[in-house]
Amino acid sequence: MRTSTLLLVILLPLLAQSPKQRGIAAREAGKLADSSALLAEAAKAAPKDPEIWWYLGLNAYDQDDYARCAESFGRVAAIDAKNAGAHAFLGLCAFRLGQWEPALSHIIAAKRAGLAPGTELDRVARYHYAMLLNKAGQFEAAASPLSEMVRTEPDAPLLEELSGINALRLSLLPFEVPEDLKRPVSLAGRATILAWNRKSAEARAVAAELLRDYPSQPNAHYLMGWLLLLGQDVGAIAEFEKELKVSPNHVQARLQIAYETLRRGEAERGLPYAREAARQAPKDFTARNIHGRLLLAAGDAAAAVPELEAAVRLAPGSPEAHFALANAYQRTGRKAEAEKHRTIFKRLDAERAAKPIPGVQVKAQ
Amino acid sequence: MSSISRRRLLFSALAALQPPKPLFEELPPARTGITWVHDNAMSPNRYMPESIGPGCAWIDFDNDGWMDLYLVNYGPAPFWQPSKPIRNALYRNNRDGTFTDVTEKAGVAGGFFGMGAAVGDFDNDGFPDLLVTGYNQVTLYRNRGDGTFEDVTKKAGLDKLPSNWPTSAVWFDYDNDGHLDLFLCNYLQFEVEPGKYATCGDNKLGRNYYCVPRVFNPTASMLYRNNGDGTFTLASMGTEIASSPGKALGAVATDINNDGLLDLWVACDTSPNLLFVNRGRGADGKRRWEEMGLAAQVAYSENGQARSGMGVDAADFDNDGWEDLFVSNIDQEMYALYKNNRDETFIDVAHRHGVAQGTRLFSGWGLKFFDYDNDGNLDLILANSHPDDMIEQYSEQIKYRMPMLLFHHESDRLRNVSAESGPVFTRPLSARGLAVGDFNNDGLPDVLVACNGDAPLLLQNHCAAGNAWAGLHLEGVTANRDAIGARVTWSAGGVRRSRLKTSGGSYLSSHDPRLILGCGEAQKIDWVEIRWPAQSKRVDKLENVPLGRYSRVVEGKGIVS
Repeated sequence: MRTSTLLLVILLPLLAQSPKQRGIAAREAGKLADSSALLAEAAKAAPKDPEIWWYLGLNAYDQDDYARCAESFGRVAAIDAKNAGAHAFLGLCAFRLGQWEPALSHIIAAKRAGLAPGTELDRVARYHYAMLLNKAGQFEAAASPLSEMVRTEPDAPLLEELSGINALRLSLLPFEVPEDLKRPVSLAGRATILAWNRKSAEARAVAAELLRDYPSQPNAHYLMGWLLLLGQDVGAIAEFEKELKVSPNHVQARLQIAYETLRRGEAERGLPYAREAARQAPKDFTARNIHGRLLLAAGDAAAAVPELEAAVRLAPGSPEAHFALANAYQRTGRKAEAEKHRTIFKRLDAERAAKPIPGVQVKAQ
Repeated sequence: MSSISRRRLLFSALAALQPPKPLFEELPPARTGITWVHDNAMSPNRYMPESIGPGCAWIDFDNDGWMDLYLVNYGPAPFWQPSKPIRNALYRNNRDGTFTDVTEKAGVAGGFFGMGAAVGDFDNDGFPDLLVTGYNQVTLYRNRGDGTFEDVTKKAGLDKLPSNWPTSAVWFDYDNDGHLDLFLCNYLQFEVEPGKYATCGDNKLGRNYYCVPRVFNPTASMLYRNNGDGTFTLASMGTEIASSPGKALGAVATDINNDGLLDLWVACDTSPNLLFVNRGRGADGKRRWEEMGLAAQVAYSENGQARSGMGVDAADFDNDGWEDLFVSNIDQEMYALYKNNRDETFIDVAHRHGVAQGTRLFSGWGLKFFDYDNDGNLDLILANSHPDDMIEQYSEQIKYRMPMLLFHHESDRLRNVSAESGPVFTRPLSARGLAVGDFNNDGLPDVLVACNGDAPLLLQNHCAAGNAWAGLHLEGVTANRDAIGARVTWSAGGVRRSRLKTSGGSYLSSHDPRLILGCGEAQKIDWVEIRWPAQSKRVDKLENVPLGRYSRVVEGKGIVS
């Protein structure tokens, strides 16, 4: 075979490839600039091809060009709204651009779209999700991905800081923690991680050190209360009460006392805390619901009704709220309304029961 | 000081050197002769049925007036074959605190994956019969009256069940025709495809683990009508019993609205508890069951969550004339004590009695309201254990084996007296079934506990309160022979008390059918009134009821022996 023929044989497939294919190949070869140029050319010809925008977005992300990254993954999401990966990358790009709220919204959208669990992208997205929930002040929500990371990825960076920020309920990202808070955050993080690892005694010892050195640190008593609650220790309520002395407007501390007194059958004791929490946070479903439930448990069904009606208005999809309201109506003789809310409860309960349990895989053998 | 007084003094001093017997003493196998041990069939797959059994029963099979006992074992199943022969066990009471294994002669060895046992005289011949439930089948043993039993399952029409995991069984006469009918709890759909059984895993320990029941579909329980000729007909089809699936584990027949018709209170595991109210015959002549657990406020916890209901009981624990309900649940859920509001609704008063907080870290199975000290008030005993043998890998606080709990009824409250009631209440057990019965006829109810993968426990009651008592063995004539549904009211020292003779209750187990009437501080019983269940509805009033022994009372004839 002549040399010219041989060259033709080698080059022909490449020449025959589209700019898209060549762009992808260039990316795989590490030539990100070439890849982006080829993919941009391809995008002109096929602007609705999500794969082209996907690779353009990846290139931009790898080149730290987060504005372009966001634009490209925005295109993917616009073409295919169910593309969980695109939403996740949109969140990561927004995070890098310092756009915290949009970043959180995109990651939530990714989770809703069904981001494949266990993938690298899922792990990175979950990490950012926890950070952003902390930043947004959604500490209860952030605790769930954080505790899971403690179990599954104990070597993830800054886990202690993230857990400490969460425990001390600081609306901060790790790099935003001021110098004077670094040690309290570290201690709180250690205590929290120990608790999540079911080392309660050690966790309480670290929390005690935190309280000894920083007795007026907001949320330190709250953390100790939470640790004691894990061990069903009645001292938890006293810690939450101490927290209220440090942080008089602490709604969560009041709610913790309210729930624990309800669990202990001490409705009368919990009522003042629930009442105040509902006054402080009238649009908070949890506060209105627990206030109503404590009133019901204390035997004042008539007073419970308006609180539980408010709870149902705030969370119409909550089976618990309809259940409690049905009971309150029943006990005040409003049987038709009780029946109506029992019917709604039954439907919501059936939907809840039909949901798969996260992490449980049933095999047939 | 006379010599007699000195001797007495010496005797007292010596007695003081002896530690007092605990309230409940665990009798070792070496003393009782009960050497049988349950095999829990534990497999690497951790199949759900392994963790559910076993039950136990008191049965005076030879009618000698002394309670014998029956223990249920696992056995061959589609998902498990025993490596060595295993069987159920019937132990005859030798009347001296020892028991003899008579299983083979009696012909009640089982031979399948057994769950529980229910005792009832379904053919009204005066000899208690025995129903054994198990995975995929039940066996009905008819008592021939000569110390042996006959397997009449097929003849009775109980060989082909519409649901395949019967657990607790209840004999009761729902239609008041004088014949005991049969309710069978059914657990869940364990066979996920033909010949394939659900298992969960691998967990982070790299092993399978027992699936949480929530992942399974619920199934319908079953009601069989006794035709009075040795056969049974499935009577739940077309009723709310069939259309209300649950994961039923424990059941008791009681009368929640005092209408003379026995209702069913059913504990369900991760599905709402069921309360089947017997509405009798409708205008169309059909018998109606109304499932009203939700409306009665006994189906869910106070926060609207279905709990892990396992054991149940029903009794008028506050002596107001209305039956109250109890259900045991898993740890963190707390057990529930439902007080009857007298309008077909209930309110959970477990907190008020310290039962909720006292059971927060417990998972309960067999249980029973009973008056262990004959003070006339109902006390409560609870058998506990976590269902998952690997729980300690996940939880710091919750253990697989748990001690039993005992609550004493005093000053209108239940008080946890476990710590002062004997070492057995500190011993961790894998308890499941529990049956109360007076094996030594001393009027102090004893307790039999069946353990998963372990030997059963026989607890002797040594209560030293010294309260007077009268024992009644009721025998219906027009009413069903076991007199289930009869209400006994008695007065002692001017204090009036009453008991409904319920059936079932606990978990996979069957209690001593006799009633013990506690007199408290009174030294005699003023009178006893027995309202026999329909179809009799006869009321017999007894005076001069002898104390300190059991009397056989026949409907319309009074005390006959």
